[in-house]
Amino acid sequence: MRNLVKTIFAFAIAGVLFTSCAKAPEVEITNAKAAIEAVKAVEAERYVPAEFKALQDSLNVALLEVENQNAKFALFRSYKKATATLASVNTLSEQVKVNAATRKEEVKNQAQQSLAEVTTLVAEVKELLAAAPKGKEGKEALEAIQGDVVLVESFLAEVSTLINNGDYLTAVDKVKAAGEKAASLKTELEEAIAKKKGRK
Amino acid sequence: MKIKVNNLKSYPTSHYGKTTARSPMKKILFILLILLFLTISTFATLYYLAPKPPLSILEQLHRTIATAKEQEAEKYAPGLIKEAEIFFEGAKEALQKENEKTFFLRDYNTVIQLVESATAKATEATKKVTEDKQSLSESLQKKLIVVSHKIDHFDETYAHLPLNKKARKDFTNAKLKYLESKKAYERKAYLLVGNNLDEANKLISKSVDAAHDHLSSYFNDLPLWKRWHQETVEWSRKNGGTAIVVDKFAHMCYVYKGGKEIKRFNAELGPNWIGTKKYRGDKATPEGKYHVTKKKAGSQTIYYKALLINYPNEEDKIRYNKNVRNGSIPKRGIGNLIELHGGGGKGINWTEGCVALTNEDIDKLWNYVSTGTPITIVGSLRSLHEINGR
Repeated sequence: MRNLVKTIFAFAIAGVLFTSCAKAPEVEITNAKAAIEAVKAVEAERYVPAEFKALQDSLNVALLEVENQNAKFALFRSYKKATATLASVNTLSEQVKVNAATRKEEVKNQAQQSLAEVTTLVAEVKELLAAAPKGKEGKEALEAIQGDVVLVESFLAEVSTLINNGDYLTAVDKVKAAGEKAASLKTELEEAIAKKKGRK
Repeated sequence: MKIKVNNLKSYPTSHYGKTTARSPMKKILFILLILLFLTISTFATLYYLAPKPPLSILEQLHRTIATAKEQEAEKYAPGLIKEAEIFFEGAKEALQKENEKTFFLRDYNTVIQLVESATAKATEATKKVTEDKQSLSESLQKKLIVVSHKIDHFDETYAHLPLNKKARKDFTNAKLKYLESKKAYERKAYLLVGNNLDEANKLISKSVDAAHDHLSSYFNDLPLWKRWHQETVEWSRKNGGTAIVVDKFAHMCYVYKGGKEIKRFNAELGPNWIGTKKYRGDKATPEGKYHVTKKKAGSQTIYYKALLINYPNEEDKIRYNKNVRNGSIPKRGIGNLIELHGGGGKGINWTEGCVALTNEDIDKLWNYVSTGTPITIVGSLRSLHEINGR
């Protein structure tokens, strides 16, 4: 009898000791929150919004799970699930950071490539302007086109500034607009030159 | 003796004092077990009946806020989403606070109320975002159409006119800003569209207004032009002869015989063809009633064939002298040698002030014309309203 009582007490104490070790994963929470902040710093919200949202959802699920466990009687608490979710937030955040950086790089490259293409186009327009007949015929028209080229170039200078400031999406809008205008100027000049050649 | 033995048998342990010690122990253990059972039962009942943390609504709230943010609530409804987040944080803090209490003393009503407030704010924010985005998208689309029409209108009506450099610069700037706005609109970055589009609208409106004002003052002479045209046609009708009318705005040269139009040709002018010729080298084509003074062909002209007119006439001379006196023009001479000649068909206004037709057309015209044939050059035969609808 005495042995039975002793055994029960021993199990009870062991159980209490064992379960009372279940502490809220404070360190993991802090780390996960820091990971989210790091992801924010690379503009994941802007460049990979869906992934960023999933990450925040995971953190929230983990935090609620922590509170769910906190609400339980101390002996019954288990933070394993929350800890696992928090660990996945950390792992996932690294992936999201990489994806955001990759997407950002893609947009940056797109902006830079478009800028290079439009710069080449403007150079072609300038070459056509230089090759255009210098006589009195159409002198005013050429001057007007020259004025437009100057405006397109100032637009491209703004694009460079935007790229340097990391505002790639706005830079793409601007460079596309400049590209359309440069293309129309090129067509205008080519048509005029072709017309002139046709008359000869 | 028997009794003694019986007594001894009946109370064998009492003799050693063992039974008297074990019975109370059992009783105590039994009572303890009962108490333990009661405690556990009470604990279990209280635990079962204790309020549960409202985790599902908190999770739902997180999703609601996330959805609002995904739809750019931070840009379109910053106040509302901020309030929702404050309530959400409050709810989480209240939840933590309640969880720290003994389970049967917990009360999650505050948490629930805060969640409800946050949900209401986040839902309102989402609704506002949806409505604002929809209305912004519609209004921007309308604005884009308006600006696009203005640009097209300017392109068709004014871009080819000899306007000042500022008007052309404003027009090109407007077009660039419009294109940029359109790109931003296409990727639904509505908040970026507004400013650029407003600026594009301002610039194109300025260009259109400047061009219209310029033309309006030019078209003040419309009654005079119409009178000259009428007189020229009337002269042709009365004399049965050939008369020529050049409409600068239409870039057309009309040939009348017996008061009736018998031919029309495309014409090219000087680059500054809006306004009459005022002095030598202004690259403007004169306006007035003239006549052919000489027919030139072969080595007499570099433009295939030419019809020299009597520019400057008396009115031109009077105007020139008056302008020189009041200092509105430089004293460079009034200019001369204005002709209708060949060499045209370039598609631009390129002459020094003459009217150029194609060689084929000057050939056709050549046979109708002789020295003295009236040539009337007017700014336009149609009103500005007929031309640009304003």
